[in-house]
Amino acid sequence: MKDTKVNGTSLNTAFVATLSWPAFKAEYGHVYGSDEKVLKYAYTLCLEAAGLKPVFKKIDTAPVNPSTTTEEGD
Amino acid sequence: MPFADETFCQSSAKNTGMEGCPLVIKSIKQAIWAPLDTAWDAAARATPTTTLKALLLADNPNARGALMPKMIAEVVDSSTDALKVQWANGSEKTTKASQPKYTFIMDTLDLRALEAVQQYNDSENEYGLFLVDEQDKILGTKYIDDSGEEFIRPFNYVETFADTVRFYNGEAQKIGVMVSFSKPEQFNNGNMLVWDTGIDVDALPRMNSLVLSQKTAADASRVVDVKVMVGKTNFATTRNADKLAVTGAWKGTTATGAALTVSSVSKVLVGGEYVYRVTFSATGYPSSAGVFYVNLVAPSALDALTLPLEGYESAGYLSQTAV
Repeated sequence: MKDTKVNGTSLNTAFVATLSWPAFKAEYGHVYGSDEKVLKYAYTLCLEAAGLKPVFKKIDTAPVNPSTTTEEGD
Repeated sequence: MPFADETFCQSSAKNTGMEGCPLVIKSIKQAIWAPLDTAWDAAARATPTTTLKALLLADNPNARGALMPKMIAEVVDSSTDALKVQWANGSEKTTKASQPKYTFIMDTLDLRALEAVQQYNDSENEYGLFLVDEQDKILGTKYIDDSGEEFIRPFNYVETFADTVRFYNGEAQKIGVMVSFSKPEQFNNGNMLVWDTGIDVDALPRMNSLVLSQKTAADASRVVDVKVMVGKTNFATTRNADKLAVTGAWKGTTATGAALTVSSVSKVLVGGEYVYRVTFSATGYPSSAGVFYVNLVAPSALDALTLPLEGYESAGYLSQTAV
């Protein structure tokens, strides 16, 4: 997989594709400083290059499974 | 041997149908002529371990001693259309499939010329080899038009494959250019491979050392700045500098031999010099004071990246200590 170049730095696309957003920030934070916009941009480009979709929001709770919910008024 | 040797002229004229002998080109000091016949090709393919050198000298009726390129390699596998050539140092070079049938090496060209090879390979594939620099060092084909005027022109990439090689000539490792072409006729009709030998062999640039330029405060972030020297030239200042600014060109290894992941590479200016800033992943990165090694990947892997880095010695590496 080819590198993804962002702001003059070649990022290891295959490696980035294995990282969650927080892990990416931890790995590459020092490359782009504290500019989270650039970090997000870089993360997005890498994942898209790898055919993936970036997820930035931290999921705190498990999603509700509709099949296990009970209807109001039962 | 001078280029405009009388016997050679006669031989050339006879073989090419040229009238007279208008062979003097000022900047060309020597010619290498390789009118290889089919016997070489057939034998090389039928007997993969046949030494090309022997075939070249034995089967080439126009072999002219010192004018001939030095063949060191052996064909080790010709089961496919591509000739695989193994050099004395053990590395292998596979010529381009479907194209090469006749292969020879020209000795000792400088890296600027090799860059030119790569440049043309990267372009529209129209030309395979046409090397000229400001010091009149030329490698190409000689062409004489209808008026008798002479030109140097590139090989046609469709019929010719050219690539850089590192080889051993019995005395020392050298950098050269391997040229393969599919039609001997390409070198007839006034065409001729010409080569200016005004090159100081001892001054050939070679990528044989990696020099740590400067550690920075970012070392704590698993960053190593590396200056890559090609002879006395900083590779990061050359035309092909960006080709090393990729993660695939680098590797990191811990003291126990575990591979480190190169997470990013950039070319940066540090202390007035361009260096490659190689960043490693935290995964497997040694703890404080742990030793690790930074290196370019093997020449064969660099080849895959289309890096014209023949001559680079893979044994060189940087020993680093984690901070």
